[in-house]
Amino acid sequence: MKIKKFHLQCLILIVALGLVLAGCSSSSSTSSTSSDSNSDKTIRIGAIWDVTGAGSALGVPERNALRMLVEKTNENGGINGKKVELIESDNQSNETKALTDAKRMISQEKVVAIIGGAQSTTSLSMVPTIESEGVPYISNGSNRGIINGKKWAFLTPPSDEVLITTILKDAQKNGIKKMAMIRVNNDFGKSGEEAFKKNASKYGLEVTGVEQFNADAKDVKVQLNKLITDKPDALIVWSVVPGSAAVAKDFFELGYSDKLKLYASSGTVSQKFIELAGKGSEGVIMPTYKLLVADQLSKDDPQYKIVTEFKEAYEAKYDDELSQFPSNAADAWYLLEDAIKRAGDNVSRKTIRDNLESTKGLVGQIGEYQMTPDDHNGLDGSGLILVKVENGKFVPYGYEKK
Amino acid sequence: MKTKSNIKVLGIIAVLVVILPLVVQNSYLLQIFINIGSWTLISLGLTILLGYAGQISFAQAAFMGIGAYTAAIITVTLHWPPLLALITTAVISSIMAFLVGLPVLRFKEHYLALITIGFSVMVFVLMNQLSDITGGPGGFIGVPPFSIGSFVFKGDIANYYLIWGTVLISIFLIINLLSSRIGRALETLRSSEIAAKSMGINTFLLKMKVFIFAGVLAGIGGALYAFQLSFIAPNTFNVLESITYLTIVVVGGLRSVWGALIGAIVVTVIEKGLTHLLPLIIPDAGGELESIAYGLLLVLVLLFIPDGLGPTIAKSFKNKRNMTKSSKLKTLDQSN
Amino acid sequence: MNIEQVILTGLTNGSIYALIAVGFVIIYNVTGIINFAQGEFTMLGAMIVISFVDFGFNMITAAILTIIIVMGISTLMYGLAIYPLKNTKNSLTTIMVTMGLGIVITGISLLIWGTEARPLAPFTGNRPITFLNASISHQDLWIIGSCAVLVLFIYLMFEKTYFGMAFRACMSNKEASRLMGISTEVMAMLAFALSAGIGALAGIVMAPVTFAEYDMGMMLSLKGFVAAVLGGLTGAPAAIIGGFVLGILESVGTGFISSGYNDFIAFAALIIIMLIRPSGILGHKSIKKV
Repeated sequence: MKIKKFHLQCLILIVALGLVLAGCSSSSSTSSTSSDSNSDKTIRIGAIWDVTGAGSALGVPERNALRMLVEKTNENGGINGKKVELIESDNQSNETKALTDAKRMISQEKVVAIIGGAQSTTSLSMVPTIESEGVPYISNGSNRGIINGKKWAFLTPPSDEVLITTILKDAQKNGIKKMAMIRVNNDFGKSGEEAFKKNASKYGLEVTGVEQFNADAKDVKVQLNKLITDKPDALIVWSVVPGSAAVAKDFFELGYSDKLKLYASSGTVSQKFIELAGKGSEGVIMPTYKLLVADQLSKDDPQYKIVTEFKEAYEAKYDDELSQFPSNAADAWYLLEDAIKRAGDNVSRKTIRDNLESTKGLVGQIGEYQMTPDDHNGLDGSGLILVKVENGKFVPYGYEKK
Repeated sequence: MKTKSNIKVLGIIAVLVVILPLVVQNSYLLQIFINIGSWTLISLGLTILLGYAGQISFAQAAFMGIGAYTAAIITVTLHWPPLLALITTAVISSIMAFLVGLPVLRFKEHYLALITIGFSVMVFVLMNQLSDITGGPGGFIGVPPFSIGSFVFKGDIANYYLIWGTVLISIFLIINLLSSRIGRALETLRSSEIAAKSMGINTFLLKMKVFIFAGVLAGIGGALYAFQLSFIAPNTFNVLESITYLTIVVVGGLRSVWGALIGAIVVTVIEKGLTHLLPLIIPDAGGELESIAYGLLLVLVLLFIPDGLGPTIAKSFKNKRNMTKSSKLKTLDQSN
Repeated sequence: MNIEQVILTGLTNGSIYALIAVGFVIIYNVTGIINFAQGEFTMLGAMIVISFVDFGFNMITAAILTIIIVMGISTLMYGLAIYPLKNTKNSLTTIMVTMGLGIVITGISLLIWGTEARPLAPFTGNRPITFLNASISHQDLWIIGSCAVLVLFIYLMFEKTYFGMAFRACMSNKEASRLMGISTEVMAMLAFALSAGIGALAGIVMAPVTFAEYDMGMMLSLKGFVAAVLGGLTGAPAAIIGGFVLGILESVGTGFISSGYNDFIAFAALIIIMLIRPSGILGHKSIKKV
C-alpha cells in the first residue's frame, strides 16, 4: 500500500512537470490568435539560426545581418506601415532542435514566414514540416535538396557548382592542367568534391586526387604531402574557417605556396581566415560575394550601392570579423521584404509565397534574383567575384573596373 | 507488490498519454512530447545497464543512428515496408550490441566505455563516408512515415501515439523483466558481482542481455525518429550526443523503471524553460547558458541527490507522510 | 607518400594525446576517478594563454600565468565537486560529475570567448625544418619537446622527491599510506592540480598549430582517455606510449589508406589491440574486474 502511494506521488510529480512545461511554452504565445493572419499592426517573422555548435561560423553573422536589417526597416516605418516582429531561436546546429523550433514558429508563434537554417542539414530537417504546414521559408543552406520539387522553400546561396565553376574557369585561363582538392569531412566539403569532380573535365582539367580532413583535427601535412606526390598545378581547399586556414598555414609552412596556386572555397572568405592563416593566406584565390570588397568595386557595378551601404552599417554595428555570410541572410530579407510589400494589405503565408516565386530582377548582395516555379534560388552566378589575399587584405581578382 | 503498483502507475500514465493530444492541439507541444518519448526510449535500457550492471556505455547515439539509417535504407533504397524495416532494425542493432559487448562485458566499466567510444566513432565515420548508401554528411532525405499495412502514421498525432505506444510497451516489458528471475539476478548483481557469481549466476550473459536490450531499444528509437523526421544526418548520432542520454538517466534516477522517463521530462523542461525564460533576462542569450545549466544540473543532482530525482522525491514524500501519520497518532494520544 | 612525414605528424599529434593521457592516469591512480574534464584543461590552457598574449604579455609569462590559473580552476573544481564525493563507492557517479563539469566549463568558455577560433603565433620561426624526408615546423618540435621534458620531469618527481614517493604510496595502497600519515585528500587535490597543469601545457603548445576553440575539450578528453586505457591506466610512461600509438595509428590511416577513414582505422586498430592485450600495452596481467 505504502509503495503504491509512493509511485502515485511519483506520478503526480511527472504530471506537475508536464504542466510546468506546457505552461512555459504557452506563456510566450498569448498575443496571436488566428491561424496564419497576423494581428493588424505587426508582421511576425521567425528566424532560426545555428548560433552555437558546428554551424556558428555561419549562423552568428547571418543572425546579426537579419537583426540589423529588420531594425532598419522598422526605423523606416516598417513594411506598408506595419512593424516587423522578429522571433529568433538558436537551433544549436542540431537537426531535432531545428525541427522543434520550426514547429514552435509555425503553431505557437504564428509567424507568416521563416528565415534561417544556416546549414543545409538544419534546413533540410525543417523542410518536410514547412511543406506540410505551408509556410514560406527562405533557407541559407546551399544544398539544392532544400528547394528541389518544393513549393514553400526558397534559398539564397548560389550552388557549390556555380562557385566551383568560377574557380575552374580561372584555372583554365591560367593554363592549369592538373588540380587536386583537400576538403573538410562534412556536408559542405562533400558537395564541393562532387561539384569539382563533375565539372573539372569541362574545363580541360584532370583531377589528381581528393583528400579529407576532420573539422577538429587541424594538422593536414600528411594529406597535403599525399596530394603533392601526384604533381598537381593547383590545389583547391574546400572548407570554412578555421579548417581552410589550417590548410593554408600548412601549405605555406611546407613551402608549396611558392610553387603552386591555392584556391579556396567561398566559406573561407573572412578576415578571420587572414588572421588565423597569417602569411599562409597570401595569394590565396577564392570565389565570393561582393560584400568583402565592396569599397573596391566599380561604381557602375549593379551591386555597388547595396553592398557598400550594408558593409558600412554592419561594421559600425558589430565588431565580429566580416565574412561573406551576412549576405546570405541579407538577401533572404530583401526577398521577403519585397514579397510582403507587394502583398499590400493582404499579408498571408500564401500571398508571401506566391510573391516570392514571382520575384523578378531583385538585386541582392549575391546577385540578381529571377525566381521561377522550378527555380527557387534564381541566381546565375554572374553576381559573384574572385578575390585574392594581398598584404593581408582581400582584393578583387580578375575583376574589370568599368 | 512493487510490480503491481508499477503496472498501475503505467496504466495511469497510459491514460494520460492517450488523453494528452485531445487537450493539446499544437504541433510544437506535440513535438516536444514526441522528443521526450524518443529520449525515454533511447535512455531506457541505459538505466538498467548503469543501474544494475554498473557499465557506462557511450553507444546509445550510435545505436540510434544504426536504427535510423537501417530504417531509411531499407524503406527508401530497398523499398521494403516500414514494419519489416523496424523488425530488421531490431535484429541488426541486437547483433551489433552482441558484437560490441562480446569482448568487453567481462571487465570493469572502463573497457565498455572505451569500446563504445571507439564503436561510436567508427559508426559515425561509416555514416559520413559510405555516401552512396547513407547520403554522406549531407544526410538522408525522404524517409517515408511509418505504416502498418495501409495505415500510415502521418502527422504529429499519429507519430506521437506511435512513439509513446512503443515507450509504454517497453516500460511494461522492463517491469516484467525486473520481477522475473532475471530481475532477481540483476538485483544480486547490483549488490555484489562476486555474490552473484558465487550463486551461480552467469554475470557475463546477464550483462550481455541488458546491453543488447539497451541497444535494441535505442535502435528502434532511432528508426522511429527517422520515420517521424523523414530527414536524418550523421551529426545527430555523434558520440558526444550520448552524453545527453547519460545525463537523462543519471538525473532521472538509476535502477528505477521511471528514471529515463523522469530524466527526459526534467531535461526537456529545463531546456525549454531556459529557451523561453533566458531571452527575457538576457536578450542575446543563445545555447551557451543552456549548456551551462545542463552541466550544472548534472553535477548538482549527483552531489546532492545521487539516487536521481525520481526515487529521492518519492522518498521525501513518503517521509513527510510518515511524519504526519505519527503526529496524528500523537494528537490521538493526547486527546485520549 | 613518405613514411617519415607520417611518423612525424603521428608523433606530434601523439604528444598531445600523451600529455592528456598522463593527466588521466595521474588522477586515476591517486583517486580512482576517470576525469572526463581533462580535455577542458587543455582547452582552457589554449584559450587563456591566447588571451594573455593578446593582452600584451610575453609568451613565457603568459604560459606560466595560464598554467597557474588552470591549476587553480582544477583545485577549485576538486574542492567543490569531487571532494564531497569522497565517500562515494560508485565510480559512475564521479565519472558523470566530471562530465558535467566539462559541460559547464565548455559553456562558460563559450560565454567568455565566443564561438570563433582564435590563433596564436608560433613560439619561434615559421618556416619548417627539413628532417630526413619530411618537414617539421618549429611548433611541432615544441610540442614533441614539451612532451619529452614532461616525461623527464614526471620521472624525476616520482622517483626522487618526497612528494613523488607519497604519490606512489597513495597509488599502490591508500590505506597503508593513510596510516603512514599521508593525507589522501591532499594527495588527490595535488593530483588534480598537477594533471590540470599538464593539460594546460598541452593546450599552450598546441594552440599555434590547431587554433583554440571553445568546444575542442570533449573530443580531446575522449582521445586522451582512449590513449590512457590503451596504455593500461597504470602509469605515466604507459600513457605516453598509448598517446603515441593513437597518434601514429591516425596518421598512418590518413597517409596510407584514406583520409576519410582515418578515425575508423585508428579505432579499429585500437579495439584489436585491446582484444589481444586487454590490460593495455604496458598494463599488468591482472585486470581490475570488480
